[in-house]
Amino acid sequence: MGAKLRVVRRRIRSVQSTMKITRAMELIAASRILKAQQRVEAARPYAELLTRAMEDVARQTGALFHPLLEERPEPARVGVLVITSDRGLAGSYNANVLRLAEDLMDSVRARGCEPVTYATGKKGISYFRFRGVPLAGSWSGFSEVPPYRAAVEIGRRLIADFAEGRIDEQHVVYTDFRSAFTQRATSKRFLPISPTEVRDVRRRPHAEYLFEPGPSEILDELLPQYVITKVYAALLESAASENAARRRAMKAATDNAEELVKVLTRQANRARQDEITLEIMDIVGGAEALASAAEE
Amino acid sequence: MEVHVVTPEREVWVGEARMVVARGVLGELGILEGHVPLLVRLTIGPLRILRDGEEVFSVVDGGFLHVSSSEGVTRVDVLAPSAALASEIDVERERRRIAELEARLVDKDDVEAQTELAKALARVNLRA
Repeated sequence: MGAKLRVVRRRIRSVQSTMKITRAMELIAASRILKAQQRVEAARPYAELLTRAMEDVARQTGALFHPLLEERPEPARVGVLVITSDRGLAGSYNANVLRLAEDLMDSVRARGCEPVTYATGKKGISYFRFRGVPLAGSWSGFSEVPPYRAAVEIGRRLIADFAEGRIDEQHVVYTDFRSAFTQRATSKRFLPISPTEVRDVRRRPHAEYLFEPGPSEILDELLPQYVITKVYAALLESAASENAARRRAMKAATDNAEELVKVLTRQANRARQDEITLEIMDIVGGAEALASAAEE
Repeated sequence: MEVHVVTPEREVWVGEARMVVARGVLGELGILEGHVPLLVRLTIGPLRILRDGEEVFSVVDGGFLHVSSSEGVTRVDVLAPSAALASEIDVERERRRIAELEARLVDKDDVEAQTELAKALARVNLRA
């Protein structure tokens, strides 16, 4: 076999085995999108009922007063939590989130504040480390299937840093899962909690309403829980988006590999044909040489 | 009376009920149709839902019980950080967990282990 043919065949085999891997990853990501979506759905009732409970407290007490609801007059340090993935091979998923995070930090600096970075996901952590950005908090190892525990840990930490004055605002940059085809990097302010999120002025206060213990103690539990629930929702949305981005990236890779195999197969066929033609010409040439030798 | 038992991760139980019995921080509560609006913090403990001729047993790990009413319909929302129906509890696993946690608590005082122990005990007691 000629050298050219051997080289081309080896490439075909290598592309085919890569294609098997990318196709498998595409299928795994597709099934995980579905699971992640179900988890987003399953988390929704709790978030809704929690908001309803907070609205009731707000209505009964007239106005809510709580440190987590207070706007700081002159914020100096602004926390930014960036939610990225642990693994790559997800197209522009991480690049989009990180770009939005950088934009947000630029606008924080433009306001004269100092950004304080928190990151989840190995990709985001190494991005900031590489750039020498100190991380006030980092968590990883769960980006594809975030457990509620992780949200509790992250949420508590953000609340503590806010309550103890290490940060005056907390923003979160994550990827909003709109559909399997559309995901948008999004940023939202989580702290202080905006009173408009929990105020429902349509209904009037109820004459007799019981709180056990008092409304302020209840609020002490409800508001942190609200923040944790929002962190959890952001992690779940990001996980669904990550898998959608990975499925798309792996589908493109599989399609490209298929195309490449077609091109390489044509090259291999041509190389084989060239070899055969060369052999035939050799034989014909040899036969003619023999025939002319016999005639003489 | 409409009852919703939810955790951040899932909807545990939703349905109609006659009465709900829960353990609040200030003592046991029974909620019937027409109860005044209420927002109570719960402790780790059993939650009983009484229906016609049937009783649903479950355990909640703290959280809140919220009673509201709209258009004459009473509604009970139980929001717990985690919860389990009696049928979902693996007694053997919880027993092992209790032994493990008690061993951890022998030489040092660990608040987290104590909370975990209370959760496991509540589950085993529900099935006992």
